[in-house]
Amino acid sequence: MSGLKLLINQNISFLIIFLLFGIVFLVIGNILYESINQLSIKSFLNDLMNFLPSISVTFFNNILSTICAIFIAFFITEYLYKKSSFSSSFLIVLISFPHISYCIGITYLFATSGLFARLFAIFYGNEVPFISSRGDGLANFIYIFSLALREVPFLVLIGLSVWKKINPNQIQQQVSVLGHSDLSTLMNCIFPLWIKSMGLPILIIIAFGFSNFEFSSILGPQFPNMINVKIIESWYSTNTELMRHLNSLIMITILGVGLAILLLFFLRKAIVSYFTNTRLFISINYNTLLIGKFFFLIVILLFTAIIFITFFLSISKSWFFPSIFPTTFTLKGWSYMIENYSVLFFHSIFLSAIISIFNLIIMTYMIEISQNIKNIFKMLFLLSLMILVIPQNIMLMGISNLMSSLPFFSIKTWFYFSLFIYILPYTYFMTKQSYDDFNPQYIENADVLGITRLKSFFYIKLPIMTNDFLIIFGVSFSVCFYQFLQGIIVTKGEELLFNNEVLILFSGESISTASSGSLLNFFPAGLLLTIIYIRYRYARM
Amino acid sequence: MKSLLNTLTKIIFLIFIYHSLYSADVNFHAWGGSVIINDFIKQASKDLKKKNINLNHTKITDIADSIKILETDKKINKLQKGSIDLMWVNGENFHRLKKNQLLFGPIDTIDNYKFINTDDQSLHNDFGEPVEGLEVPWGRAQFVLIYDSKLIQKPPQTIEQLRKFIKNNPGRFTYPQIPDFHGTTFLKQLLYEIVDDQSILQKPFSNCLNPCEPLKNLMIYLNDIHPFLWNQGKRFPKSAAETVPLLSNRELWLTISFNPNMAAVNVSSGNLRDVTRTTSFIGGAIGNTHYLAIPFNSPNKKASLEVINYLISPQSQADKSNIEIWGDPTVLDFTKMNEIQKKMFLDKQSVHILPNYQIPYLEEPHYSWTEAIENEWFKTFN
Repeated sequence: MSGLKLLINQNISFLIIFLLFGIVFLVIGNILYESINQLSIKSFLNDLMNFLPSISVTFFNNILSTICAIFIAFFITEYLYKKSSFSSSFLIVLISFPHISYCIGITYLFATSGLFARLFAIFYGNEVPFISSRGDGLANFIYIFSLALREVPFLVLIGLSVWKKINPNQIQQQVSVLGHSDLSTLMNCIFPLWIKSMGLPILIIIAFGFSNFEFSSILGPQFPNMINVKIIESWYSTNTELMRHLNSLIMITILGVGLAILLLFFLRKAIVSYFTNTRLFISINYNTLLIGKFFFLIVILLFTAIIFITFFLSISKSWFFPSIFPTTFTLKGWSYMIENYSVLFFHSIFLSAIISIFNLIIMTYMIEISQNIKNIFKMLFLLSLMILVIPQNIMLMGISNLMSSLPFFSIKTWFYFSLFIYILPYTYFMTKQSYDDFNPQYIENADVLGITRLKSFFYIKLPIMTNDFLIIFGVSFSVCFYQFLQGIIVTKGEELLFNNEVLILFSGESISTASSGSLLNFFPAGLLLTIIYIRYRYARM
Repeated sequence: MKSLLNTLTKIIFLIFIYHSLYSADVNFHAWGGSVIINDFIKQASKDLKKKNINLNHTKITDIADSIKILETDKKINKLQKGSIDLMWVNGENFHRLKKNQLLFGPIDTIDNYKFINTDDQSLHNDFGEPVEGLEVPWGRAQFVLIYDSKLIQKPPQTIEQLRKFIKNNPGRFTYPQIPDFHGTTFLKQLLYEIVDDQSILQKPFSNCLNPCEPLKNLMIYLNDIHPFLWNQGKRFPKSAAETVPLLSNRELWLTISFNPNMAAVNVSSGNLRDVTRTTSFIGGAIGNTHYLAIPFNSPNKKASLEVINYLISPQSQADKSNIEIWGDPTVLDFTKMNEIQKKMFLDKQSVHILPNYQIPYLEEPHYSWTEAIENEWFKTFN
């Protein structure tokens, strides 16, 4: 009996993984089958040629913004590691800032009648804003810059733990004996090691670049539009020509992401090889901390400015150029949101919390009962990779197609499932990180003393890893709370998260209401991560 | 105490039974971006509670989503228990619903339909597609220009005046990016001004000779003005709502709308400056009607009909046309109402509304023109 129990225990994690694999394969297979089935090679090649400018701009912008984000994150990581110690955890809070509010905030900062233009108008005295002549060149720059800075907090968070593992202080001592400068140590030795371990977060941000809608729609260029905008445009359109493009766009995006990952893989190899061998930095003695400090301040200032702008928008009745502050105030936006969306707000909190906890429990359970953790991690890695590499909009279209083939599952079930699988990769990456960091000696010692695995989990692992589990929960919660494509593509408005309602309100006339919603949206994840940050700072194990 | 509890339990149970038997849920799919429209529907929902109808507003981003649900329902043979009871729809979406037989009807048999101006032929055709009782008119819209009267003393009222204004004031006008509905309507309005024979726009696009001269001339006109538009025509707002802050901040001096009361509503809510005024092309402005329709598989058709009946009642239409509430022009015929009903319609004259509220009405072109205009625009500029 106990043998059977052991067999079940060992295999249950594999069963769960195979089940998830099965569904994800079905979803991907379905969307690929549907797209290929309705597409002839001739029309695909024709569309490919027509969309070439869109493909190029999507490719260029996403690759460049990823490269910028990597370098900025690297310098900030170095600065925070050496100077600010664990105050760096504050960046976790910024991860929870909603993308849509961030993009709207950027628009309000840089518009011809935006905050910077208003500050300039104080000195220049113009009552009417200058003529706006923002072309696609500037739009591309703003897109690259904004997306890169938005990804920095996430990269720094992961980058810091990688940094600690590298043990840069020891490297620095060893290399300085050989006559290398600080910059040379950083770029020739630490950077290649650091970037080698940053494959997964880089993969996450490149996949996000290809599937996000907010950045490319609000900040991206328009002539041509980026591919992600074209997909959503085709999805909604009643125009037969646009609808026909959808299948080609799906195939192009999948190929585009694959190509971008390959390109980044080779680029990373080339960068590692270049930085390992170059002699450029040996004699240059430059305070690299200044670069990190500069970028860190930019990130903090940008986010702070956006939060302030969103707050003022939420309480302004009238706020016309060239006033720096609103001229008349109202709390109507806040009262509207509270009166009309409280139930959905708390429902979204509850749902995100339940799904995040469920995800964490499943992940921990699978790892704990499995005799062979390495295999579980490998399979989870493959699963997470599949979920991340296929852009979210396309994966969700696959789920939507599958829904009509399997009508016995309710919309709610599909909605929860589509939320669940998008948290899984994040939970996996962070759980893996924590288990890698955990010293197995504690458990080995407990084993020698005859303590059961369950006991050693609750009495040893859990207390030591509490902070890690809390961060995993916080990040998973915030990822889940800010999902919105599920409400559009999977449930088509029948099941929504609070984030969807905020997004819909931004398409209407009341900016103050939408901004109030946006700040409310930031509140739960922001508060949760702030609590975790404070706890992390003062109760670090 | 025990008997009191028993009685209370019985009362609650009876209320529950009564509620389940006599109340109906109507799931209304309507765009949820506008606070004023959401509030209007919420108020309607409160009023309908008295008739034991729970009107749930499903706030959607685009009605195309709801159509996809219905198409899937039809595909999987879900003919009875659909999730949508009522839809706010018009134009190409109605055409798609009608073509795929996704609507229940005729529904123009309801009591309050008698107040609808049935002599108005434009209410019987939705973008050139015969309505045939599959939808009931709910509100009207007409193309207008909104401008800042402090910066523009004499607003353009013809296509040539508009061209002159754009060239004299570079960067101060734009239109929403195609395929946004408002952007496409602006192009249709220009097309009306460009064509020699306006009747061609009421026929399917296939009747236009190849190459279609009016479309060609429209693109020539656009090519001429684009370098003088906001951001030199290299960037467009995504929607008409996005032009409101641009106008209030005076980045734009002139913009377009499809609601003659839009300026008044936004001035009253503080979104636009008090000097904002409305005008239109003197040759006429495109107008259309938006409708309510019931999907083929709505499980609550009877209650949905009651909701439509309420929404086109003089009381509800008077509220809807009030600029303090929504400001959407009514579809009702005043001559068919009694004095009390007429009085419910407040005096909406406001300096922000077009003087005299008399714009010659141009019918929406046949729905096939929308796609043709969009495709030509993409081909030329995208």
